[in-house]
Amino acid sequence: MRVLVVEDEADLASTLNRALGEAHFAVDVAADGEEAQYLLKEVAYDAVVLDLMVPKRSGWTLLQDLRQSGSRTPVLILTARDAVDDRVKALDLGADDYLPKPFAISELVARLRALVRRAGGNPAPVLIVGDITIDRSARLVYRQSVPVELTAREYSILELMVRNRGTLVTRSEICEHIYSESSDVFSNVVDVHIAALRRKLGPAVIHTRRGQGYIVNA
Amino acid sequence: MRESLRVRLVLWYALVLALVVALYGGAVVYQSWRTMIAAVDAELAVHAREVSQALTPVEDGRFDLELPSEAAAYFFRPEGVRPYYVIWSRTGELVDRSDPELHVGLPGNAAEGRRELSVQAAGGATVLVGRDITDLEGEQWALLWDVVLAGVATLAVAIFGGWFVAGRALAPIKRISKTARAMSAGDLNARIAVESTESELEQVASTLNEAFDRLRLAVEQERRFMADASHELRTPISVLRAETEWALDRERSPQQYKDALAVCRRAAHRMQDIAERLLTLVRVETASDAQELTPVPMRSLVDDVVTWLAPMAQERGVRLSVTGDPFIVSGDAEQLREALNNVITNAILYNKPGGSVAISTRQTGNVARIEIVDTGIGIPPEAVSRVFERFFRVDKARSREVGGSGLGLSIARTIFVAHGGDITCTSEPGVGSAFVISLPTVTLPDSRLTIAN
Repeated sequence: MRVLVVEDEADLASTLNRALGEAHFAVDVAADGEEAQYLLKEVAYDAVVLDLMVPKRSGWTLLQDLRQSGSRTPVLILTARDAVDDRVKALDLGADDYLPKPFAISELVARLRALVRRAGGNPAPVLIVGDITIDRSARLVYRQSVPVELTAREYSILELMVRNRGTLVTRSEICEHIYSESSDVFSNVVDVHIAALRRKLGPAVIHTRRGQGYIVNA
Repeated sequence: MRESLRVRLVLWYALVLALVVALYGGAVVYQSWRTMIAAVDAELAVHAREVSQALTPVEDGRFDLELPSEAAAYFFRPEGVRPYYVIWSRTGELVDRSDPELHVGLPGNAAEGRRELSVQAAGGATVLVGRDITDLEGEQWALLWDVVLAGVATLAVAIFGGWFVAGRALAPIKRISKTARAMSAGDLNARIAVESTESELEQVASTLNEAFDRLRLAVEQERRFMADASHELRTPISVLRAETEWALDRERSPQQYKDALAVCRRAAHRMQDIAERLLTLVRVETASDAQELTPVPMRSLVDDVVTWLAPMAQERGVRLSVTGDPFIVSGDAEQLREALNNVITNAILYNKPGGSVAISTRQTGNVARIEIVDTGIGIPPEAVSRVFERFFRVDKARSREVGGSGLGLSIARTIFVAHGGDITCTSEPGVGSAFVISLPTVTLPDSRLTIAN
């Protein structure tokens, strides 16, 4: 799951980057509004963590522009402004959640996961495909109730595919979701991960559309 | 409180009125009594003369009395109060009397309830005329009672009216105290309804309303300040909390712990800086009444600050220069130093390498101006009016870079205003900013200070 963190406080941005990375998010950081706007245009993020008081272009404007452009990306506002008016205004502008500073990282991670689940149209933490069960809270996968050992990347790809079951997911989409801007990857890395997933979960879960991408049947 | 004031007002009013009524009633009764006595005396005098004229001495102490008919009618009236006369000879022997059954003492010994008058007649005889005045005294007593009753009735009406009037007059006080109670209970929007500005109490109400307005403004400023301050502290606290949570989440390498501690140290420094600045601001604001006023030679203070800041300016390639006249301000030297330091520091920090900060002082009349002109990055027009606001930063990122708390100029302004002066700012982005400080000066009779300056 790829998230954009818009935070101008360098130390906090760095901490969030590390902490969210360890929670298996692919994290990009934007230190000001202009950078954030550029990234939001370029990348299809699964969620955005947005500080309202960032230089050059305020969080309010970013949020407004994002919603006006038709984007449904979940936005979590993370800010020191905690007046009720601010929260109401942010939620009315299209924010999905609001977390006042200071906050607990575990809460931020849980809220982000919940936002991503809801955005995928299914807030349930457990997804079932055939004989495969995915527990999205614990990030665990079972095949016929037997735990399956997956790497973080493999899990992220499986979760993305299952979330978008019934639709084709291209290699570059997969890349975009599991690697942040700072990672240097080739798209054949995806093929390697898919092969590993097939080996662990059986061949019936993920299907290949030659030359286009992959699909998990609905 | 209000009721007791009302009671006291009415009581004092009633006491004064009772005195007036008593004096007036007393005077009326006394005058009436005197008139009555004078009339009786005049009547007795007329008849005493008639009796003495009707008395003729005959021989060796004997007298002949031939009363005229008017006198006889007077003394021997058939009914009602009957006046009397008694005649004694020179030797004190009783000669005649109108009523043999009446006991009469010698002249000057009138019995209770009688009025008597005696005259000397021919042949050394003494004539005493008198009458019973009990009936007239009764009339006077009746008059006295009437006056007392009327007085009491007047007093009762006056007390009742006074109570009513006092209540009406004190009604604004009730309104004022009710509003003041609401204010002290925390309702800062409570205001006294002012009916007309004519009466003194309504003027008090208007004055209090103005005071309430100022109070609310002060409280609102205080609240905003608290909100700003807590908001300001929240960012470093977030860093501290997130970083420690991250570090404690699992076993980390020594380098990661080091990095985490460095982040925490930076956050702590920032919190310390904010706390110290806030304390300075509070100290300056609360000290305005109690500050120690001493003559401060400003030019040498400016030189001091510039010397102190020179290394920082040099490090950033900024030239500092000071020109102008010496002048003296009455104030707190430490506060003025802090204020100047904040303004000049800003001019250095928000400057460009190779830039300059030109400080000049000038005195015109009783006002001195210190101009601090820099060749810095300037301030956008929409931000110029806000640079003295607490926690306002023109460029947050740049401010953090140089370690600004957003309070320096706010502190400076508070200090200059507390010294009866002001500070204003004009700026052109990309060209530079000019800060102009104005301060009232003092002239000292002691020439040594001027020389030292």
